[in-house]
Amino acid sequence: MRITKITPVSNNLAKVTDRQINYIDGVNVSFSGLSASPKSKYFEPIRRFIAPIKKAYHEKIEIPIENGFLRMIQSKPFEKVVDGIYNSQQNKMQKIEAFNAANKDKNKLKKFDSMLFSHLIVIGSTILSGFYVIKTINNKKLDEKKRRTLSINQAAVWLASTVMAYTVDGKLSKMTDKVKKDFIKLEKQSAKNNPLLDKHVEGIGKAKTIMVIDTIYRFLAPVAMTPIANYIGNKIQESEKAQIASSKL
Amino acid sequence: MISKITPQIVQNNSRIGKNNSNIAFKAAEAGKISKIAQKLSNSDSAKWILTQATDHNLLFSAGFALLLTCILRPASIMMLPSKKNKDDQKYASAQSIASGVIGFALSTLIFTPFQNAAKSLKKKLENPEDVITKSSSCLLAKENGKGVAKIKITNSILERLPDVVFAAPKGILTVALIPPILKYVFHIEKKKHSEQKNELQQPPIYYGTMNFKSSSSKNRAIFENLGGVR
Repeated sequence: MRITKITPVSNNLAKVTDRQINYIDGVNVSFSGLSASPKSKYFEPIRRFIAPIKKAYHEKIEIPIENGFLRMIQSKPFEKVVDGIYNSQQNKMQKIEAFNAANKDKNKLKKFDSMLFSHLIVIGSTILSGFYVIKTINNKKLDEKKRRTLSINQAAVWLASTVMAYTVDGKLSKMTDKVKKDFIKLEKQSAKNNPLLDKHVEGIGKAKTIMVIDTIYRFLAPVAMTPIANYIGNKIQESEKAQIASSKL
Repeated sequence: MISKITPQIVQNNSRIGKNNSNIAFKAAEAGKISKIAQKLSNSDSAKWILTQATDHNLLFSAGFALLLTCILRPASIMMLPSKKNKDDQKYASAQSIASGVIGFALSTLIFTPFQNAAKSLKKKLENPEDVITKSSSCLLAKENGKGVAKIKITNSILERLPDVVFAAPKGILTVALIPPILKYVFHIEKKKHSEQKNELQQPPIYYGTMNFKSSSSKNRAIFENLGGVR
């Protein structure tokens, strides 16, 4: 075990200097990045070769990015974005509380689910599909009609996939809640202590949204729309062929 | 008030004679543990995958997309019945495999430092006063758990931010890198579109430029009109 640096925690800590040891508590030492499992002898030369590369990668790439994130968090536009999201979440929570207070007797009570994670995934895929639409519109190798049809197809694929993603994600929320509860029950009943229980529970929800949205965007929507796109493309080609044949005569 | 208790009222309002096994079934269902939870708690590899889903979202999604594009999509394409377009099917499946592999490679190269930085910053933001220097920042607020909620929002944004920023450049690189991989790895090239272009872009024949030996301009004009030039 190699201890690199122990620094006292101060209030004016503006920059990240190195991987720090989080706390030392008697026997148990917690540190980031290194594993406590025994390492085999045979991989030592490889480890010695890789260690300086890892260190340089950490010092020159990861730490500047972390400092950049720190600066970005404390900037004004980022704070505006975070305030906007927080206010929208508060409004939603108040509406849900009012609904639950009005419908106490009925069994169907609403629960607050922050959809921020799924919104961020959808934003990333909209930017990508918008980029493809713009690229097809500016593609000079294709005819104008083909450009239009392709761009419309891509936009329709995006729209259908967003709608499907939100509906399927919402309908599977009950199932994931049940899986989370059962998982926590089983882990607490078992003899082994799971220190990463919170991470695993959070991971269940995140994995579900990622898997659902990725399948819909990359597999279902294109597979469903390619026959329609082929049909439209064939029709356009037939009409163009007929036009050329009529112009020849 | 019911004045007279008839057998019909008793039958309607009691469970005598009715199937009581429904109650026991529903109670057992409520206490039943789902199979997915059982499988997740028993396997360590599944738990490792769940930690990756929390810490490295983008790499998890890239790995899952790799599975989709390399296995599911080519299988679905090749299983479709088609007599004429076998070459098209091969081209499409090869394209999906290439795009999946390139996407995975680019995402691991680009996103790992961002994800590791976001992970280490998340740990440090459990004590935000030690890390944040700006005293007027909204993340240090302590009223009604405002600061804690806003820190959660920042963490979720930092985890997904590189995907939003690098989506377009990554798309450009994948589109640019697919044809060489198709050429040198799969030995497939685009042929069909060039044939179509020759058909569609056949230039019209200008009969007016042909050598027409006649002094009268009338006949020449008639001949030119034959070709559809004017």
